[in-house]
Amino acid sequence: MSSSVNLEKALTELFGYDSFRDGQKEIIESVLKGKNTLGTLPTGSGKSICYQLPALLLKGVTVIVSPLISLMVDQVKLLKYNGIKEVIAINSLLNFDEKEKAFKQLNRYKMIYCSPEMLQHQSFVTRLKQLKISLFVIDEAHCISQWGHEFRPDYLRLKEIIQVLNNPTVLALSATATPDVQKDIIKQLGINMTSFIYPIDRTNISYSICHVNGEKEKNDELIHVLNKINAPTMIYFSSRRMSEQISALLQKHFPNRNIAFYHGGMTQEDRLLIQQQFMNDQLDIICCTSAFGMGINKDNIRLVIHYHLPSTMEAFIQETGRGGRDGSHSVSLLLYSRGDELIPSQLIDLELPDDYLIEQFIKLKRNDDPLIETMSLTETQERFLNYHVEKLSQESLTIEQIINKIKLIRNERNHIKKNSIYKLIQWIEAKKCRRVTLFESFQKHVRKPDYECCDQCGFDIFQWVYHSSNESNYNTSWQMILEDMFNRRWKNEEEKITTRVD
Amino acid sequence: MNYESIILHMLSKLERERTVNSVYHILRGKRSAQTIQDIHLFNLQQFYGIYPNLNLKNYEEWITRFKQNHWINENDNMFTLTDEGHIFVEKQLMNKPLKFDGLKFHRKDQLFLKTLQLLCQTVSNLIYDNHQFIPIVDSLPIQQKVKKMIRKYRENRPELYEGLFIDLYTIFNELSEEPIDYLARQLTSANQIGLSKQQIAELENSTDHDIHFVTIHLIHQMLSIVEQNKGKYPFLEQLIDTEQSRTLTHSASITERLLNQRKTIEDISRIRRLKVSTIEDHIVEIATQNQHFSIRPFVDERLEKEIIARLNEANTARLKIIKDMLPDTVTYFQIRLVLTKWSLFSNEQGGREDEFIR
Repeated sequence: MSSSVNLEKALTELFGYDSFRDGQKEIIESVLKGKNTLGTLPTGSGKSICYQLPALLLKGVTVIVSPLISLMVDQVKLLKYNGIKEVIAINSLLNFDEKEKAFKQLNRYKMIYCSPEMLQHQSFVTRLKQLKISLFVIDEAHCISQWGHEFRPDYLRLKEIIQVLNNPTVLALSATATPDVQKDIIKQLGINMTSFIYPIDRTNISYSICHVNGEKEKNDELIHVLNKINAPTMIYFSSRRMSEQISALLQKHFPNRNIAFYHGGMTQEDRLLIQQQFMNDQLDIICCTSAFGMGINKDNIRLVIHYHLPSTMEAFIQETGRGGRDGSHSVSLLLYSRGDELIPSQLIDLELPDDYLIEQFIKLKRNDDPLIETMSLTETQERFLNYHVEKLSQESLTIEQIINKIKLIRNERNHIKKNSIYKLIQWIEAKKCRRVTLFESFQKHVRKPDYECCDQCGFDIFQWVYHSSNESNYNTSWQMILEDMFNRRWKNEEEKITTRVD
Repeated sequence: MNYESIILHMLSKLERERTVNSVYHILRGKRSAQTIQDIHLFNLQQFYGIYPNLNLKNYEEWITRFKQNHWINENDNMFTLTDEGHIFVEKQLMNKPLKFDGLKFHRKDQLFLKTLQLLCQTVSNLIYDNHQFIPIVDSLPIQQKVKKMIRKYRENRPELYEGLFIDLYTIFNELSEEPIDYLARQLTSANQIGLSKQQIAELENSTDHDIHFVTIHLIHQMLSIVEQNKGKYPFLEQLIDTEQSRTLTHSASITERLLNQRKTIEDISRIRRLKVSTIEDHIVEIATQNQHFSIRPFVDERLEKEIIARLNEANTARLKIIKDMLPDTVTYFQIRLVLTKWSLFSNEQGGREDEFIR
């Protein structure tokens, strides 16, 4: 077909890839035909190409709904890096003037990234209505589903927005949607969708779990493994403090390797530097929290270690999926000590409002009491409460009924999330193939791995041999730094030679 | 250079006069009348705004450590340096005067550094013929500024490459007595992403606070060298933000405009629906910024002389003590105005207050 030839050509010209990966082309063709489409693809398989290519081929504008600012910002950077400049992220990082300016020039862009919350701003939606929106993309679409691990109430309002924007083609994408969640996405959007469900298991990753007893043993084991394996490594932590502490500990043990930490508490400038050093192979090991966005690609990560338990199976799949994007072998190692599940479990309890906060909020809200501003709710708590209060106020309920309903909803959400941790523990304790048990709730058949499978199937991380060849040498004196920066070293050599000949 | 000596030096100028937190506000460049007045009164202009990202928790930890080291004593919100504290500062800063110029360069310094970082990254990538890279500075205005500069040399790129190299080489050479490597390592080339302050601190067995102060100290020296040698560093000169850095708060500048229209304090208070004391704060702030500002409408000559006489007697900047020595009709506002005017003069003219009193 001639159209498919064109698609390949466009892919090469616009993004520099030679060919499509599994599923990309099918999803793109469906979208270009104007069909509402649901696609699941594994992390690290180029999900974003599925909408970026159509966005550039279609007349009109593509709106992309993304749950995290850091994700949007990284995507925009990556597109600009590829020479695609007509892209913008509308989010709370823009100040008033920048936002005004962006709204005025919205017609200049081919791709507009925004959060679901931003789509609740009347001025923004009004401006969007004046444009021809040809494609409406919902990234991380599992956020729509109450059964999803990352449910965000404002995602449920997208259905109305799609109608307000004159029913553009909808593309919903996820890397972690179980069949239940897939059904729920279609139901909540209230439209017919063509589904392209691809297996999300990664065949080039070997999984390994190491049981340890307490922090001391965990650190010993970590050092033991890193002693054996010198490769581009990510280590995930659930606390900022620990990422710093272990980074310092490892630096002491491995003075010849470049090790850094990265978390949301650092300044924006430092985060950019560390991220780019890692991309540029200047760092061997990065100790990070989930704040380490990977919209910017590094494809040669060989080892992903979880020092702490992630909060969900989905988060674990996503984070381990950052390894081996080049298709070569990558290893996942989870260090588990009994009781580790307490941290994520406590975090869950803090995420949504407790009984007292719910009661206070509803009472103050009912009286339009300005004291509501002083309640010091987190952003998530406020969003949760506002969404449900608004929704329930359409039914004729007493204040007590509203309070009780919201408490029930909260309990249910907490239950779903804690269940997810419970599933993780089950997975860790099971004496069955890691790969099968990790992915069986997402897909019927788990594929055969390209390399060793998992510790249960005989993979021993200590038998794994990997040595990185790159020895990075830091320039440390200002003269060397400037000579390298301006490419003067060679010239100086030449000058020296000529003077010698003279 | 270390943060201990800088903070302790600042504290030594404020002991018995202000609380320890005044230093924190000065470092952060707080734009309140009180802070701006303090820097002039106590001759701390050079430190104004040199650490805008300092957080209170860190600062409080420093103070706690100073107390543990027996460098300072604090009671009843007043603090003093111990003999050890004074000796430490003297030893640390002996023969090494601090060359910060915060009042002049705060905010400009960060802008200059970031612009330099992005320009170096861009130029280096162009030199290595690499047209794809991710900018290490996110700020749009800075990106636009660098783009504009690159575009300006569209016809003659080597002129920019050569010129920037020579500018940097010359000025780094000029500063080679200083730890200029610390600054150079924060720059990004096509081959190597720059280090963060935290990373440099690790390599040097130092703290990121120290590296911050060293960096700002170097930037201030670079800025003043460039400004004092107009034309010698044509490329670095272009990176300096020419916009006059206004230290006057927005609100105070509105008051200033109304004052110029010959409105009285009471008029302004009514027009702006602000308290009289707020307008008075503004006026003191304006007086600290503008040494030609006349305090005459608020303090007559006779009263001014009397206040100065008491000031000299008391030898303190604590307003309460001075107020108690004066008639009840004299207001704090009047004392503050005179104090401001007086300290501005003494700084400008090497402390010849007798000439001022005449």
